[in-house]
Amino acid sequence: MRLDRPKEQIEQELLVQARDTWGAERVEALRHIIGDAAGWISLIGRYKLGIHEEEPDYLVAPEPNREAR
Amino acid sequence: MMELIDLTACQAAERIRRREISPVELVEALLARIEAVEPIVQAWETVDREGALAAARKAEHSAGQSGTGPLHGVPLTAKDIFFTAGMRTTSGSPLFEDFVPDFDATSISGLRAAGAILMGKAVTVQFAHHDPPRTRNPWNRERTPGGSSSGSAATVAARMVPAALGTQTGGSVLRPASYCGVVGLKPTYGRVSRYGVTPNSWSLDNVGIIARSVEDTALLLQAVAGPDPRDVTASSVPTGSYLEAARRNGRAPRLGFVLDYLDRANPDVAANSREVAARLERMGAEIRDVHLPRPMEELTALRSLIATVELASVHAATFDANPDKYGPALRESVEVGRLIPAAAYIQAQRLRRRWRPEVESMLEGVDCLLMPTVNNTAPGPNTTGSSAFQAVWSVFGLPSITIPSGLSEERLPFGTQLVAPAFQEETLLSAAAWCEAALEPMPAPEVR
Repeated sequence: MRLDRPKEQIEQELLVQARDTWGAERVEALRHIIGDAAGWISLIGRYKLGIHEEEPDYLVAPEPNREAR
Repeated sequence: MMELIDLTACQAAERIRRREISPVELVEALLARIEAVEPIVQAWETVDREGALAAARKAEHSAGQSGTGPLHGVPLTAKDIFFTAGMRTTSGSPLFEDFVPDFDATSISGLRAAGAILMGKAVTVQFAHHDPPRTRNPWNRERTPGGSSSGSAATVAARMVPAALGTQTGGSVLRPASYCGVVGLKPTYGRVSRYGVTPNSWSLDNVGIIARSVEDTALLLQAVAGPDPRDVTASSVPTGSYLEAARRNGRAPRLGFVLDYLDRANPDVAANSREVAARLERMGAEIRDVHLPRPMEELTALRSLIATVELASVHAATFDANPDKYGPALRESVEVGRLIPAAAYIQAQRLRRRWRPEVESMLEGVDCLLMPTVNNTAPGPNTTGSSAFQAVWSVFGLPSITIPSGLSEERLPFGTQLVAPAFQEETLLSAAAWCEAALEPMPAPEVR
């Protein structure tokens, strides 16, 4: 999925995936939160981040207790 | 004369230490209070009457002796996602209706080591998400107490316990505390071990504290903060002297008033926030206007996306076998969390790291940021409210606190939020205590 697209396009793609994954009967229940998720993705997806811009430590806590490892 | 149920944790600890009151009479008074108001508030998942009385009798013998802890004989509760050895821990889910852990969460151990008595477990929203709980707001039974630390906030506000543990991923400590008119503290991410706490979102969850005074939150934080070899995310940054900071009576704080919040708040909340800022300034605080570095919607989008994906991951195994046992909002979040592409999650985490210095720069030249805690006062029972106002600080791991700041025309509490730099809980608590003293004390709700 390309992230740098309008919310509506991302939403349509997520709705198709929802139908394939959870079935047509769940799509209506999920429609509002899919709209939210499409909005989140679209809001942050427009930022272009270079691959050398920072160390990939974003999945580590701010101050890891390294001696515990 | 103050009734026993009105005592804060600090007051109770001091009177027990001086042997002016017995832990047994305090527990009995709270149990009587629970019997009187719990049918209305519905804040308890488990009340351990016999266990609490037994612990109180034991505490009575050694009260006032040297070597007893700072919470000796003080009754507390914890959100029902904290594992408690020998006591049912449901996580608010029918899947764990009868689950009894055989170990304590590290933070529970910390409270017990300090001498606290666990009265039982407080209602949590299912898996700490946002399906509305059965708990009602002690100020108005037709309103939500907020969530997901619903029972923790309601038990404290209704004088059923002086203090409680909760957790926050987006706003689940500060929002219910604000809606219930009490104090809620969310420390820096990593300040308190999360070992033994049912996860909601690994890179966002925090253990928090709900009480009726800033001083009380400091007292409990002192007992639970610190590294933990069983939780690699629990920080080894040295802990501070939190109680001393809360009692310091130091200089008036410098506060950055975040104006972006006022445009997004209901008119009565915005008005209360302006009144609070004006009052604090009259009392000596330095107030300067500041702005978020980016639109709030972008900052909260990071939190929402990361939280939804991580939630789906937490429930990967359990959900597939039991989708019908999941509440509707939780089920929707898990299902959509699975659809969000990995590239979006990684983008969110990278932006989180990149934007953190921008957000932290808001604190340059001030002690804390100041803003309303929630966009509204407690709404109806079919929601737990919006986490947007709290979530900005949650996603960047900064410590935050809410203090009650008045009542609306409908007699529903307002809350004022303060935020400090990472690992500066002493600064936060000192400023919050100063502000608390500068504002009108909050009355007790009439639970009916």
